[in-house]
Amino acid sequence: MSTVTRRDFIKQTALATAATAAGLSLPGSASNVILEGDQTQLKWDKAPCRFCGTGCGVNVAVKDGRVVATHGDVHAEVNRGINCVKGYFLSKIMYGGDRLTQPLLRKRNGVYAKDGEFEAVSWDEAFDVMAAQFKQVLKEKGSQAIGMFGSGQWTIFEGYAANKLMKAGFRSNHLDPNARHCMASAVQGFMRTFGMDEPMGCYNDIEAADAFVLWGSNMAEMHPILWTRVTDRRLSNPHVKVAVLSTFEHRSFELADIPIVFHPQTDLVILNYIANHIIRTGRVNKAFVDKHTTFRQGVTDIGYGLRPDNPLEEHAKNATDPTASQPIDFERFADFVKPYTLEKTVEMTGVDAGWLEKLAELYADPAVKVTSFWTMGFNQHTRGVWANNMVYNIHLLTGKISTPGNSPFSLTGQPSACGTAREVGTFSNRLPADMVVTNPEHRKHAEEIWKVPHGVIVAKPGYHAVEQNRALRDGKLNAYWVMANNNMQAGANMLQETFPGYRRPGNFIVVSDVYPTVTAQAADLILPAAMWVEKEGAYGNAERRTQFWHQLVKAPGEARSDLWQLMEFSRRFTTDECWPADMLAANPQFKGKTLFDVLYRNGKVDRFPVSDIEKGYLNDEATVFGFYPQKGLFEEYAEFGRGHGHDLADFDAYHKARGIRWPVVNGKETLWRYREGTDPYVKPGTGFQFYGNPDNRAVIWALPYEPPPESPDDEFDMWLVTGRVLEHWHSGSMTMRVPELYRAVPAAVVFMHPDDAVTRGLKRGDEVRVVSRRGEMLSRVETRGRNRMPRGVIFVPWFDAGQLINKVTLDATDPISKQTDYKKCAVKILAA
Amino acid sequence: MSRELHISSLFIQHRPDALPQLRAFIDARPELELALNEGIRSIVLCETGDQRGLMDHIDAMRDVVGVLNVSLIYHHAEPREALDQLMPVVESMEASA
Amino acid sequence: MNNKIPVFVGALFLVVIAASTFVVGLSVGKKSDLQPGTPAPTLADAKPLPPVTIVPGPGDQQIDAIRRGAPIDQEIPPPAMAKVENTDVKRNRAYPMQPPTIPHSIDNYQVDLNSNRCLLCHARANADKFQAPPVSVTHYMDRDDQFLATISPRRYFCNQCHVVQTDAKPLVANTFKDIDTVLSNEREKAN
Repeated sequence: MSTVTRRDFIKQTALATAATAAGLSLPGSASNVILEGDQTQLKWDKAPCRFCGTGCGVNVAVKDGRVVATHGDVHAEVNRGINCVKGYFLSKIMYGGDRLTQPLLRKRNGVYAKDGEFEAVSWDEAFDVMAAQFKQVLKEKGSQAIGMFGSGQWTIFEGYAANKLMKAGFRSNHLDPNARHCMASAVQGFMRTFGMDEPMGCYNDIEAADAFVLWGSNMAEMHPILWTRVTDRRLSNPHVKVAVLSTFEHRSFELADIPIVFHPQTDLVILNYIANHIIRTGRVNKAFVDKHTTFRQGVTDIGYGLRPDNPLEEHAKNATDPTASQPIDFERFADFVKPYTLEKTVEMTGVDAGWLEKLAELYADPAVKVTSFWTMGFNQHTRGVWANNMVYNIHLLTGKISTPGNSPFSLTGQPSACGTAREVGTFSNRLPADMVVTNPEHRKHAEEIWKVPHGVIVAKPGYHAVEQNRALRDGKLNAYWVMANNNMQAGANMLQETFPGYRRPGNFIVVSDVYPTVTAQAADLILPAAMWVEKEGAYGNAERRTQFWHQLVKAPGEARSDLWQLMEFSRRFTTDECWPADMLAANPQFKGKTLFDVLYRNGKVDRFPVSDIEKGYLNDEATVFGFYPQKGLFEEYAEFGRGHGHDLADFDAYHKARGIRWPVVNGKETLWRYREGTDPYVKPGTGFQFYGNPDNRAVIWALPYEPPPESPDDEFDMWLVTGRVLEHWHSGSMTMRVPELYRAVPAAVVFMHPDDAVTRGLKRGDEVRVVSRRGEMLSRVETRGRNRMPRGVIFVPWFDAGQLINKVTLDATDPISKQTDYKKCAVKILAA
Repeated sequence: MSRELHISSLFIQHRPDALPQLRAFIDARPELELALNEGIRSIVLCETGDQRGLMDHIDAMRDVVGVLNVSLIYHHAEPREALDQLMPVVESMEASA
Repeated sequence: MNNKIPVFVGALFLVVIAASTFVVGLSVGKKSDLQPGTPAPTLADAKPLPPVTIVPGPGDQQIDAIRRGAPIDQEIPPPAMAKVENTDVKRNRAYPMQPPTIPHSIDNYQVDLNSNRCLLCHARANADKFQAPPVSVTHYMDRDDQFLATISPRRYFCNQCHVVQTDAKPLVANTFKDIDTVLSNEREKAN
């Protein structure tokens, strides 16, 4: 027995933690608390958190190939040592007892059968069957019947590899990320106003703001660490005000000076009322508006992104061209918002006049620095792009933008919705660095960087998320690969639009995941995936911060990273099978090559040797492929943005830093974009340049209130709002397998006003049916707890696979962004 | 003596020439131990009977001439008896270490 | 079209009228008409989707334990509401820096701009009196590592890190091993 006590061990941990935080190395002789031998030594490393878009830094302790502890990284600027409860339990997310460790294929009598039972198979068999299915679809129906649903949880390398495989390899743009469900309206909002995606400000705005306005964002639960910074600012500085807007009262209201609960959809009215208030009270920042903005009016009556033959779409005047617009001037804009008076706004929103005026004054008062935050309340909205445009309107009218504390700030839900989905361009219409497939110059540029023949990238945008489910159901999409997401649980109108397509005869569905989710359940082939620190990775958070981590442990069993899966699968296809004969005839050097050769052995992705990997770290992909794929993919990808306002630093810089915010110019990160002095792209003497647009001006949009596609009526008499909870992350596949998080919140419930329960003869804990025109779900009534519902509105979280609320929701989207509105549909509540 | 023991680590940033003063300060306080130093960065381990003691050390250390900043990195409290337990350890570890 | 602008204004006017009707309609529980006079279609008017064959049907083997055995296209009775454990017995932590879970009920605890019920007992000044574990000293540091006389405001909302535990039995086991267990496994391996 050794003489090492627990006390020695704790001291050693204390020292190692401090050394990691301080960036000091731990020489064996440096301290007498280093114990003889290293049997109790832990290896500590840095990584970003696996969960939300906040991008907190954590320290990860590894012992004997297992993660044994995690805690907040005191030197990570985002969170300075704190985590939320999910982050503190990161250590356990990889160790759910039902981790997938080998491929599972539906088989009958030893061969693949759609109606077979899952059987464990080798990777060879899995990829043989999968390749045969994909090849058959390619041969019979062409590349337009192949699709992929990706993820804002992919690493940057994985998203980039997938983008190349789909858009260049298979020549299919039917690649969309689950970020479509959470960020697409924000993206289109940025593109329409600024011509360039992602926030101009950064989290440092929090410590500089005099007021915070939460528009449809429950930061206390969904971005807890940013909320700690907002709370810190508010409680340390009594002059600071916090306004919280929502359709029901949630935890963020605990900090609210200005609490506002409005009728669903009428946030649009409040936004135009504020613009009107600013104009009417003479507080427009004329100098800013004249020099840095233009005005446009968008078309209205644009439909709801339902199937084209839905009467609501047929009835909508501009459903086919929802983005059309025309230039107007300030006076026209002022006239446009004039009907949005205080009186009208009170009437439509149900909010007291006093609160509305107080809110408007935060923006109108030139002395108050305002940061606006929003998440799914805005983005999951059939007029979500408009809502984004309209909040920029009020920041632009007052010139409250791009300066510390003045910040319209779109928050993200996934760890790399920005880094992977948006910046890499894994959407069905996008290419890296804000480029789009519809632009011939953009396609040409991408083809040149990728070293593939001109014409490889298809010009037509592919199916977006909701369309993919419809196309699967309709038999137009037949070979489908789902990676790092749980869309059976996440997609709206599950019983009618998601489930049938997965289980349709002739469709072949592949799901790569770490746990047996409901999406995996609906698949034909399940591929076991590596996660988080089981692979080298990179994420980009909501403030443009790109963060890297090393592989620290090996994945269990035969689980493999998505990167390995994508690259390895590409070996099974040749250009002759995927590209047209005339293209190959014109470019004979590509003939007979595998997609792996063309996409990843192109002299760029395979440029960096295995020896470039930092000493002491694993890299399972490099071991297989014989080069350092993460570095090669990143450096090729970075070519897209360098010199174009999306500059990324060198690969190696990110392994040293606690994240770096792009654009990174001359080794320096950028905190506030578009402003002279803080953004190297802005020319001296201009003050501001919104250089995403050719005229360097941001657009102020004249857009109205329009009603939602479905509102409560006599039969379906309640609004249903869905969303998340603090203790679980998204569909819960990781957090429901952490005992402490599970036991904190073990099941979904229906949050309801006590009087609504009473009038239905219900009380807390009663079993109920939540019924819509599309489906129903069993749950229980909750009249207490963290949410206080107004009459007529219920809230049901979607983390619980045991209660699939998306059987009930409506698959209506914003017609511009194609993002689903998960916040509004009509239901009835019946005793079960 | 209190039942609990508080173990913590502190990260000190200081001027290069402040190390002698810092060392003298630490040597005078048996609850502190200079665990690591690299130029202007040092790590101090601290064991106290309560939080108050830890806070007092931190405040006093801040006042040492040449010390620029003191950050508490790690803090853990546990009953002394638990901390006196021997760790389960492999006898043959030396060979593989 | 050269009269575009008047058309837009007209459309806006109609929409505002319609919207106010709709809100009023909601408050009295009447079916809302988007445009009075010209009956607009509603979702109820949509044709049902053509049926499709589902393979395989119910009875398929179930792999997601969170579903408690129910096929994904079927419903199961929800579990009974779990009860919050209220024993006041401190639970072990998985690793030293894990925030302790709350061993008691926190129903109706007010934590907002005006008061913090948790700190009533757990603040250092009060902890002895109430025999509650005082909050860790780390909670008295601000973002810039400066010590404060009171709890750092960034730690104000306790529930962001500390949560209660219900009596719900986990549906999936977790094989996480803490440091002690990993080390004793090593010993077993060596023997």
